Amino acid sequence: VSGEQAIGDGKDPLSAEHLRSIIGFALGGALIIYVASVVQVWGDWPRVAAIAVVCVTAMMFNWGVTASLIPRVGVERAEDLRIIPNIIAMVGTGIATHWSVIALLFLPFSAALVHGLHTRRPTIRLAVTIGSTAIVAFVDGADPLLLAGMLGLTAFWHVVAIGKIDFARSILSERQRNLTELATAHKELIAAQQHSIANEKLASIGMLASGIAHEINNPMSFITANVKALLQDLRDEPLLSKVMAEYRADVIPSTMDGIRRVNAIVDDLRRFARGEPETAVPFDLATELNAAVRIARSQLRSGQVLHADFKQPSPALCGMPRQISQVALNLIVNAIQASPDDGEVFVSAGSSNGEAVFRVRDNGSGIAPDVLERLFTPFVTTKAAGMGTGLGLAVAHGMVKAHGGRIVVSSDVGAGTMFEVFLPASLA
Amino acid sequence: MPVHVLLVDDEPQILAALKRLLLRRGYDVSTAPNAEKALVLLETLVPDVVVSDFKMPGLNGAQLLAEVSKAVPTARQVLLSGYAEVAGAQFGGAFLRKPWDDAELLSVCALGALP
Repeated sequence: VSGEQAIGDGKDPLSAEHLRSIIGFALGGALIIYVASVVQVWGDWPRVAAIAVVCVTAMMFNWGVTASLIPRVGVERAEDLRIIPNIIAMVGTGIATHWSVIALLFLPFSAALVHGLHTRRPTIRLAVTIGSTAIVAFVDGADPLLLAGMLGLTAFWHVVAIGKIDFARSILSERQRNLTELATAHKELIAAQQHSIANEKLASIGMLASGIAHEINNPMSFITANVKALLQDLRDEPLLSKVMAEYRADVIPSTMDGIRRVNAIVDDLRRFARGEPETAVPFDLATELNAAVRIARSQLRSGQVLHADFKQPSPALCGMPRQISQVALNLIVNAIQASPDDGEVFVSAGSSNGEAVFRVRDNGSGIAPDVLERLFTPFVTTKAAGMGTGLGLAVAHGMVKAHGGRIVVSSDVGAGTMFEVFLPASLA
Repeated sequence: MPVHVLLVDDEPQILAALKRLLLRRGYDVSTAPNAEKALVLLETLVPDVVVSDFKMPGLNGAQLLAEVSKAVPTARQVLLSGYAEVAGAQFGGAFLRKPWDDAELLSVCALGALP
């Protein structure tokens, strides 16, 4: 009985530790039989000596197999080899005691504990061990009736032992399965909790952003109107001083440009908060995606390729088509910008579990895990200062959410990123 | 007779900007800083167009325009707001977003000249 290695592929729940705990019993049981045999032949010293030699040799060999042979040749081969000393031990003890009841007890004892019940072919090993021992015993003049009884007992015992092992294995594997299920449930719970925290955070940022946007928007509305009027008036003025002419040509136009930028940001912030209120209409996903792809092509650098595949049907949708094409455009342009000069961007649409889905995939630089966590938070950007406000994905998130949908991102740093947008099919 | 426009907004600078725009185009303009003051004005005044902000202390723009429908049924109504979501509100007028486009605002006010 032994095992540093569990059976087969290592998934056996009956681990080496479980089995090691019965080694003590095995050795103890064998020792009792040897001692009883010695007592039986007490006074006949050559026989006592023979039993002692067999006992020590067999035990040392059994112990040695456990300790050193298994790591080297594997548990199956070691168990095969262990048959030999055990046959010699049983035959030796049998001959020394004239095949007494005590010596023959080794047969059922073997069935109960030894021969690697946890390995693949315990029954064959037991048959070989017991068979050869029985043949020698029969030839050597053992009581046939006693021998037959012991063989019957051995077979019975073996069946019981195998059954016990299987029972233990089934209980343990069920426990293992329960633990796995529990761990999975726990993981899912944590993921759901993190998701809801992230959503809550985005919602509160949305409210804050929306409030700030409205506060900025009000003064911006008259600033815009006044500066526009000023520029118009300066243009209508035929005679301007050199300084005022410079204002007309340069200062006020660049001020207007700044105003437009502020207004665009405020606009984005408001859309992130609530999504633009348009009336929901039925629309075709492929049509909107095609529009986005057409516009996005202008952003491709030479060497970059944009693949669009909308052949797969997707469910009918109802919502705000302009928002969906804006989300798609945003994702595609991001993918193009993240791609290398010879990069490829794939856009496809289809259906998944009754929902419409479109995917934008690139083989660009990927998104670092710390950025991935905050991807939909406003003003999170990896683009250079002035190249992006970090509002695009925040707005996209707001719009997709307004449609009852969700955005799923998977990214491998160095390998690329895939955005999947799921949109529930319209009820109509 | 020039078209008469009543402007209602709690932000004086917005009133000033709108007023300047419309006066230059030959409109008659009255202003009120909130809905309640506007309703007082409407007891004596019959504007062709009412342009109102949405979010104001007291009655909001939509509520004011509902009152305008009763007091001056002939007046064209314009809601001017940064709150895009009020666009869906049920009322019989036009909706313009802040910041407004001058040309768009003028074209809506020009409708006030129609009978």
